[in-house]
Amino acid sequence: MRIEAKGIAAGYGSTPVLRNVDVIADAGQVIGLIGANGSGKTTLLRILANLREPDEGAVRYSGQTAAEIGARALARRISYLAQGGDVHWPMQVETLVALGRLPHRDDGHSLAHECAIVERAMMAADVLHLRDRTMSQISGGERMRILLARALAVEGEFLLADEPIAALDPLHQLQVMEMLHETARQGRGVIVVLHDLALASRFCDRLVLLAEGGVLVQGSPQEVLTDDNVKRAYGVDVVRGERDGVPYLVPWAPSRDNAG
Amino acid sequence: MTDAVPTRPAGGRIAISHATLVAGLSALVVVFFALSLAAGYAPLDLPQAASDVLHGRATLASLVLMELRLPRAILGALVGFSLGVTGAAMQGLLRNPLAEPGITGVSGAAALGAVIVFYFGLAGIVPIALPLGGVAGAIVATITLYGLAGQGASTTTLILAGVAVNSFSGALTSLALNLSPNPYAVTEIVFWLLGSLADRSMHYVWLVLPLMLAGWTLLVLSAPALDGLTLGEDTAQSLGFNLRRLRLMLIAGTALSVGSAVAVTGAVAFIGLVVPHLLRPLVAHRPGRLLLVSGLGGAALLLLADTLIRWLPVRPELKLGVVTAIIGAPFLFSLIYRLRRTT
Repeated sequence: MRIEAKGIAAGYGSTPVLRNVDVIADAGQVIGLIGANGSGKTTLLRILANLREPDEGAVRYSGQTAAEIGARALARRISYLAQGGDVHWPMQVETLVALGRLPHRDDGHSLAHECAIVERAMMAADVLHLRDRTMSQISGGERMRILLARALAVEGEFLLADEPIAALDPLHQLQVMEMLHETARQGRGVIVVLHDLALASRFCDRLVLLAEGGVLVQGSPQEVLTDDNVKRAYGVDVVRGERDGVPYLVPWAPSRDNAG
Repeated sequence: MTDAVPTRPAGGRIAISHATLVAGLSALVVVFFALSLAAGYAPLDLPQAASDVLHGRATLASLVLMELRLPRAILGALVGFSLGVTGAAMQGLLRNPLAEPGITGVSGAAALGAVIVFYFGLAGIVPIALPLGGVAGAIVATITLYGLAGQGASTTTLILAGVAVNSFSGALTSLALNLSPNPYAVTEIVFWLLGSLADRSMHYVWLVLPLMLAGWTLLVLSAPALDGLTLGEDTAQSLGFNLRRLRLMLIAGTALSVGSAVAVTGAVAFIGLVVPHLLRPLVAHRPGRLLLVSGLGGAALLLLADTLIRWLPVRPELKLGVVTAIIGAPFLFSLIYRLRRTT
């Protein structure tokens, strides 16, 4: 599947956030949406997931609009992992992951088939051992992996995740990024909102850098994360290095000249 | 009905299947229904009365059974089911264990709607005006509540919204009492407001049954969406649920159920709070599964409470609403205390 957004404009009330945004996302890749706070990353992700309508422009899923596909059919093809990870009732982990099967509830599959999918999702997110715990008994890192398992249980062609590693320690950040990378290697598309430039440059195949009310630049991490672009988008200078042939960068200090 | 969310049979923490739970609660409703029929001030030979009814003999026993006991028991079950299922639905929609028709002011506003109908004497002209007045009050309250505290607002906002709706409908109810032309009308309204199932004829059953059935259907149909809402509105929408339609279904379902329940019995508090809370662990904390179960639990609890007040040697008879409030309020205290520790 391909998600193609064209000429997207969106805002809140009279405040414009995005204008004239074109994005193409193909299956099999991890695409990172990056940019400073308030640059419209979540807004764009929600538009791509058909959770809100753009003020202008349109999103097509392999050429079809969301209305043509239908809400339930689209829900089977796109899974969405929301920011923050609210869980309002202290459900058992396995029950929570199984909520991901709700779009498939009339597909007529056997219970065994459905349970196998839930189990597979828990395995992929490495939470199978937590299946009998309740959500009130788990840590922050486990929580995000469980919610990731819930999103994987949809078995959509695309996974859209909003800041899935924001509240995690470095180990759990790496684990979640590796899971997203693995998900893309298995042929699904992944679009992920990220703040960590080092992880974005390392785990994403393509980056979309949002700044100044639209897409500043998009392309490979090397093309996007130049000193100049990072300075313009975030107002910071970076230091760079290389490990095992993979380049990395670390935000180091606020830029002296913000002329950009 | 196949389950929308696949769970292994042994996956539940508490090893009780949903079918067993529904069957058990249904049996409880039947038992308490029979107890309710047997409870009363005049001694009644139930089998004899039933046989008289079946053979069309118009004896005193058959009259007591058909005109007094049966409507009271049926209304008890209907009102209890309505309050239980609505409590569960509101808690699922607002994702808050304190959401309940009474606390959120929906019952109070429904009572106001019914009082207005009383006040202008509309019920005497068109009988259906009474439940419709209740439904109208409940609709206004539910929409106000959702507008103030809908989009995942905090418990504090929800409770404050409930206080506001309750105060306003309370003020207007007082105004109606204040302007009431004679003391008898005041007494009648006040006694009705206390909440009771006594002396309601079958006429009331036929009046509210269609409204309640429509309300229950709307609420129970929203079960899968309420499960999805566990993870917030964006996630529920991404799972294919139309949230605008869900809200409309729940607002209409709540208003129809609570509005018609309050219109015939007055305000019966806390059933919608206590029942879902007690049953939630038995349905693996799934808001969708809680609906039917809470309805049955509400019916059982209300029938039991209404039977107990007739067994108690207190005269005049305690009002049902007074008893549920006295039992329910300490429960609310403990719930608030526990929520305080977890948030």
